[in-house]
Amino acid sequence: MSDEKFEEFLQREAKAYNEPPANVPCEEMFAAIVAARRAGAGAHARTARGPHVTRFAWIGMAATLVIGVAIGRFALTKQAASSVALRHADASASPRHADASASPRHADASASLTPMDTNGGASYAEAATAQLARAEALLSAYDASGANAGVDKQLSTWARDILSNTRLLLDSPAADDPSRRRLLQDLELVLVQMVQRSPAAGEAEERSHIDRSMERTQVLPRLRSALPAGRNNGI
Amino acid sequence: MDDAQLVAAVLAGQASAERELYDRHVDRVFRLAFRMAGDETLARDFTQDTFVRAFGKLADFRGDASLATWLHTVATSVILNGLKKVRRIRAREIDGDVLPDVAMTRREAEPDLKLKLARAIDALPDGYRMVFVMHDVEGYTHEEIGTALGVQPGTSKAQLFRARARLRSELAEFEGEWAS
Repeated sequence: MSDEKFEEFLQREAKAYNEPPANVPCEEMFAAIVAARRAGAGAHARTARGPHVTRFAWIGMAATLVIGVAIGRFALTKQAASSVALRHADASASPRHADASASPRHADASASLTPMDTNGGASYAEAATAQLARAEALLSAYDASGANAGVDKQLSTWARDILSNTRLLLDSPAADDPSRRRLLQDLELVLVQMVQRSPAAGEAEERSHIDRSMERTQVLPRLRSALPAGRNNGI
Repeated sequence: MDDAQLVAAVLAGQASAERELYDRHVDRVFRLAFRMAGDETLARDFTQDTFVRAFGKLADFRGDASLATWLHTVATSVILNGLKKVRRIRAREIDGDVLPDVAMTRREAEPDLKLKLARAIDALPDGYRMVFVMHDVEGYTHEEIGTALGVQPGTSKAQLFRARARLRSELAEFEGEWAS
């Protein structure tokens, strides 16, 4: 058989090969592209800022170490002096108490607790700020996705990740501050709505619930004002 | 707005220009991705990835070819790499004996001509399949295919020839039907 006949056959029949759907999901894909670009811009900015931050982080760590050692030495010296004084003063009255406070174990513990508490608090604060920046990026992407778009799978997955971290933060000392706690709780509500979509409700209905919560709690402007300047969206 | 103006507007940060660029080209990119992937979720991923990369690299667009052709260079690279990655993941996840190929998850039964043709196209190497799909299914020219794939138009013609030859050999038993 001729090649022409075969080519005719191919061009006629191959049109049905993996035929795309008539409606291209333009809006959903565009929302995902915007979200991915925002996330990428955040990552890029973080990378670009990396060496700068690292340099200051090293300076900060070195300064903390020096101050920590100085405070530790000062505290040990003072404690040793006071315990010696106490021992001399109360030698006859309570020798066991004086011995206990002068023991090396007790002195070590008191010296090491102070810097650990400081670092722990700083870590929680840093984790909370990073988390709020991620949440701000997500809600901005949702906001930018347009009133007619629903909550697509990608945003929903993103919201799920942030929700679990938000809950961890709510159970941590990061939520000790009452205003941050309220912000995290309002954020949690919006995230739950994004994650737990009811199959019975339509996309428009789901979106209106989320929109209402965001408007009522003003969570997005509050997130933005809670972030230090230059930290919004991780940019 | 022509390509150069549109690109300049996108690079200047105009969100509406970004959307216009997307609207102009998304249908064609999605169609190609769907034809190659045979799966809507994958086609969406490939299309999204194409535009994310294209927007990120738009400053590299020099205007030597049309924006559509340049965009297809990004798209074909994303699709071919994406298909490789999907196959690798599926090969790891699924036992080799029951491993379904990408774009080969449907039709196994009735060996009628159309099904046999679809199966034969699925079985082509991705490079040939891309050329075949672009030319014979989606109607791209060899110049467009050559630019998109980074090969000469002659290479594109040669690959199409080989792809057709393989298909013809696969469909030899149906010659009476397709020749009629």
